[in-house]
Amino acid sequence: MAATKASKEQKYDRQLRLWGDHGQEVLENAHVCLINATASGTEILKNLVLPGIGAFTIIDGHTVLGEDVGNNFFLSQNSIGRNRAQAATELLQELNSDVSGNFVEESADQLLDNDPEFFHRFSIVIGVQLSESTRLRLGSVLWAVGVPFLVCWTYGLMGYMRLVVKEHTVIESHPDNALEDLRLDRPFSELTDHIQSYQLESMEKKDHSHTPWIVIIAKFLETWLTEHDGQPPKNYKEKEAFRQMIREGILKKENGVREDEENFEEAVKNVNTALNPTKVPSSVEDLFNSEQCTNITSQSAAFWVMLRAVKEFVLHEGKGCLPARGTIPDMISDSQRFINLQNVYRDKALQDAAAVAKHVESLLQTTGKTPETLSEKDIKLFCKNAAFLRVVHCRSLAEEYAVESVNKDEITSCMDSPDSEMVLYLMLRSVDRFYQQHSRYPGVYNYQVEEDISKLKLCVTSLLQEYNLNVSIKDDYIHEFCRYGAAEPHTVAAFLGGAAAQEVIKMVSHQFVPFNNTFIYNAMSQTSATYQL
Amino acid sequence: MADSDEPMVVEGGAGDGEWEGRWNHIQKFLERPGPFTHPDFEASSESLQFMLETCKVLIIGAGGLGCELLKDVALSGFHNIHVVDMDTIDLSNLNRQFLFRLKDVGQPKAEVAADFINTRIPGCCVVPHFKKIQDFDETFYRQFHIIVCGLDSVIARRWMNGMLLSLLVYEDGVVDPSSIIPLIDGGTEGFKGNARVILPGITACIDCTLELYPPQINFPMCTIASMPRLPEHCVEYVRMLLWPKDKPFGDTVGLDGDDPEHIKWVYQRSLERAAEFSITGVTYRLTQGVVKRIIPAVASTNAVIAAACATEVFKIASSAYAPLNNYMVFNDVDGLYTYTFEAERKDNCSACSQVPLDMRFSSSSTLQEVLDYLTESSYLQMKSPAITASVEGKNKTLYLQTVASIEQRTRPNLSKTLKELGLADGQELAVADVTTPQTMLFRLSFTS
Repeated sequence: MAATKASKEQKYDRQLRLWGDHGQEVLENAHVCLINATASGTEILKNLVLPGIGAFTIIDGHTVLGEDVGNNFFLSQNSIGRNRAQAATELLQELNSDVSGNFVEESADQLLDNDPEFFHRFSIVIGVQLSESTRLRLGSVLWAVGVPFLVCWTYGLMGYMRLVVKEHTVIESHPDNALEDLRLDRPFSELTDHIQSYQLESMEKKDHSHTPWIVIIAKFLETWLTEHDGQPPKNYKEKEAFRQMIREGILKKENGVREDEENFEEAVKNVNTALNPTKVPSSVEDLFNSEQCTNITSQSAAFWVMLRAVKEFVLHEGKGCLPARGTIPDMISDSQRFINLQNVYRDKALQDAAAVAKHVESLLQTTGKTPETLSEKDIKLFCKNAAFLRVVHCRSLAEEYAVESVNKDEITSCMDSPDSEMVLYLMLRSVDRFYQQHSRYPGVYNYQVEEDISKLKLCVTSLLQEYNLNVSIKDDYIHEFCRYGAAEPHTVAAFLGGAAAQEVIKMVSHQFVPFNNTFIYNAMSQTSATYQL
Repeated sequence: MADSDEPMVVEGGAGDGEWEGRWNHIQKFLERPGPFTHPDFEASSESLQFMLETCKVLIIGAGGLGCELLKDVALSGFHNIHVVDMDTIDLSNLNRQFLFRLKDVGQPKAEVAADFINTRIPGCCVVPHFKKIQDFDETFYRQFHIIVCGLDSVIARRWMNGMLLSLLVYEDGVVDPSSIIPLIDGGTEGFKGNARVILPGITACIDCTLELYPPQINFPMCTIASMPRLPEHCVEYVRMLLWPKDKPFGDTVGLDGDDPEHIKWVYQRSLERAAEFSITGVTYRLTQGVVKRIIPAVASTNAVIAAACATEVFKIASSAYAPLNNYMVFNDVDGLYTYTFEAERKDNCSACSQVPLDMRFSSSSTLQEVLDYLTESSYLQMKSPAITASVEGKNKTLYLQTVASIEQRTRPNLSKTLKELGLADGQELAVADVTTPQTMLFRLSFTS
């Protein structure tokens, strides 16, 4: 038992450094569903099986054809003639014995007819190369029970992904460039007391040169405030004057030349960001004002209960500030001073988290739930990430496709550039129509390419008319989409496989932020775009 | 393998291991004319033949990107593939390097990868090379039509870049197109990645854009030695100062990041160091990460970048579309983000600009200053350059680090001035380094 745990830690080491043991645990408890084991589908699953997803189920009623084996790493020559779900499961399962692979030898439509509740058990359903009607049927079933749905389609040199989820909350968004939470503009009492304990003027050189820049800025800010009627430096001129004040504070040698004090250089460099006013980000304010936060009930998810508790904190103990994050960046300093300063922030964060926990407790009580529902650890994590919380709402497919709610503005404005990725989206929707009318995709056989161009063009025209879209699509794209012949080249499927798998991992782990809601990859130009349709 | 099914022969295709429809998905791009194809493109049923039988692709690296590249290239109609990798398989590779299994740990990556592909994809012939890229010379590299790199080292990239530049033939200052071997380069780190197409002698090369690979920042020594603040400082202290002092596993035994016993030792001592300074946060995982300079990695990013690279291989070999021009960046931390731009050639690129580079120093500057310039300048970033010059008609090694006896002999030169070393204004210095397969020429200009 211990051996397997240790070897799993080693095996997954490189990814554990990204989403942690807790993220891995959620992944290992997830069960994903793939519909259609085409190359795109198996590539997506490969990138979920390798990191150790708990289980997968492939639903596919197709029989393996020669061309399926040609572009799919998880089908072999002797898969030809067998059911595709079964054949692919074998070779995918072989990738990782930690994962449990299952298959259903039926089409999605059959399952929707006979047992739509089959889909309720999954953490997420991935539908690959689906016809429009199957897509919409599935979309409606999954929307009703809140199971996220990821639609993927590799069509020629185009990759398409559509995420369908009513509400997806993210506590750990891991932003790339987060601003520090230093509170220099509104220091809490413990920070002020700590700063008071420093007397820069009377320090020996060694101590002076190893005082953290946070303290330096705080000290000089105090002086500035008394000299400027309590107003901090606001514009470039004032900030430059403030920087100069700090430079003047650098110790001088006997001959008047400035000493080498890197900590003061750091302080000067950080003036701009250090003077950023501490405030609740507007994105978080919006969340505070949302319906889910305002109406906490016994049905409310943990995220909203904790958010409401933080909101109450902001209104009361926080005096307009979020709970302190509790971390400081590394900086030139001797060990003791740095640790002491770090502890001041850490202790404040603990204090604030405890206050938030009290609000959580009383909220849970009013809704009749026990306080054990939310652990101290959960609350601390939430507080630490309070400034970075994200909630993603993706519209349903029904909304995207309905004439009354189609996103005309987005489509029309993107088509101002006639070669933007939006044209590929419109072509895909036109190809949907072609399939509806002719029960096949355009240009699959060589002899069809020419004659299908005019047929596809009719579909394009009817699509634009139905949605009343005043845009024009170059004939070249219509020709190109007939040329594709619904091909699924492996490299494009593999790109989509990587992209989609990571979105699935985001959805399951609730870490990092998923896209919203349409992603288009153009392999011809190696460009991509994301649209909210 | 296939004892039940009779392989069906494709018209005009190879013999064994072929079946009907195998190349349907690719054929459409090769046999049909289209509105967006490259001007050189000619729709033909023979292109597939060329790609399968004649085109030779070299894949450098059989790791995270390499495994994906092998699969992608093999499934795109290329059956003559060589792969070079000097590493053996480690347990921590298995979360993404899908051609390897638990039983393969310890075996050479190139060989296991080639085996897997050749078995899974009938007709494909991957030739493995369990070697360093530097073990081969131009006769090896010249045989390939396209080279794709899935490396994890900037030094190796620069070396490959230099090798392909050295193959270029110039006539009257114009490069002979038949001497150009396209280089497709991919790199990943966590959720970020990039793919680029380099046409040596034509487009920006690796060294033209060296600022895109900023040098690793190491912690200052005084922090490590006397003022640790972060758990990482504690680990570096043990690695850099304590280990050489204590020599815990023997006098000549260096720290091996892959040896769990070594890491355990470092971890224990790092905990002690941290406790001394009341620093929290030292874990086994953190310790290993610092010692091995581990970069987090997942299957998905490697899949995306390798796929983009392989798409370019296909485009270039088939002329089906214009290749990426010339750099794509990818990041899926927040949604999915790509940015595609044309990296520009540098006129004075240290690798591809063809003319000896200017080096301006005062005649009273020391050789040490020249050495520092070569290693610290952001557009040269050399590792351990060896400097030679022609002095009084004889070739003189001014300084060389990589051979201990020569290093000792030439060390006194570092503190000598350029004038004292007998160097003249306008003379050429030849510099060799791991970052380039060919010696680089610099022209020395005295400022005073």
